[in-house]
Amino acid sequence: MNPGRPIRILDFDTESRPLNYLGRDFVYGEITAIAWGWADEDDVEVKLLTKDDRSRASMLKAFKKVYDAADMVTGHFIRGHDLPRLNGALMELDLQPLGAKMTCDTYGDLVKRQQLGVSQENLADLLNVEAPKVGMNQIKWRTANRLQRQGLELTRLRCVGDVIQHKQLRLALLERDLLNAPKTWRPEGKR
Amino acid sequence: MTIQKTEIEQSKAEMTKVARAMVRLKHTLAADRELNEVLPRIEKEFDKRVQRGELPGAVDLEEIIQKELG
Repeated sequence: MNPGRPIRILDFDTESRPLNYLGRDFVYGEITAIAWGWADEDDVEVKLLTKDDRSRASMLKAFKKVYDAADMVTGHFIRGHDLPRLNGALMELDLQPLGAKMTCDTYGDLVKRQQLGVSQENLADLLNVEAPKVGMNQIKWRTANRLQRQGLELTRLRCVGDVIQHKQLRLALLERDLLNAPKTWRPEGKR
Repeated sequence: MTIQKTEIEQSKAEMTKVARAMVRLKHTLAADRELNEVLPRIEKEFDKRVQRGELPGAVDLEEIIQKELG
């Protein structure tokens, strides 16, 4: 413990595509992109799944490296969605899973509310966040999820756009005191 | 050799024991009430600083702790 030192906060987001049916219409997905950036910097990096088989491992390994370097990670619904999915993907490739980490989940840590949609897009609009959500429609998702060249660019723009918007959204929520205390996400236990 | 207390001595010892316990309890309850008021505010300030990218220690929070304790 070193009180007084700066804390590094990593903002990140993932995109996924459907991969296999489990039963009925329930579909398991596969991560197609991970974008991240330090909360106190403007740069956002992104790694994409491409038609090159090695891209999956290199994308996950690159993220794991920055995840390990971060004191806290932040994103929208990361404890319920992105972090467990990342561990699933790491396990599938026999890579070391993500360790416990302090998290600021702008969905999970949002103050209690009702009658209000709290998707990242809705919240950003509600709080007049400048950065736009990069829109996708069915045709664009299909192109993106088939890993076609122009599709990869759409995925990149979407994932990077989400991180840029989320950085601003988190600050807007903090400014209005709408976030509860950050919580430690632990990979131990169910899901 | 064990010295047996008289009934009066036993009664006095019991009374002082109860009195000690009551005074201690009174202060413990008062301390709990104060802690319940003060700790959430200190924790909130800690969380705020963490979200701003600082890892505060007790020294960094001394001012707010002192203020809270009056």
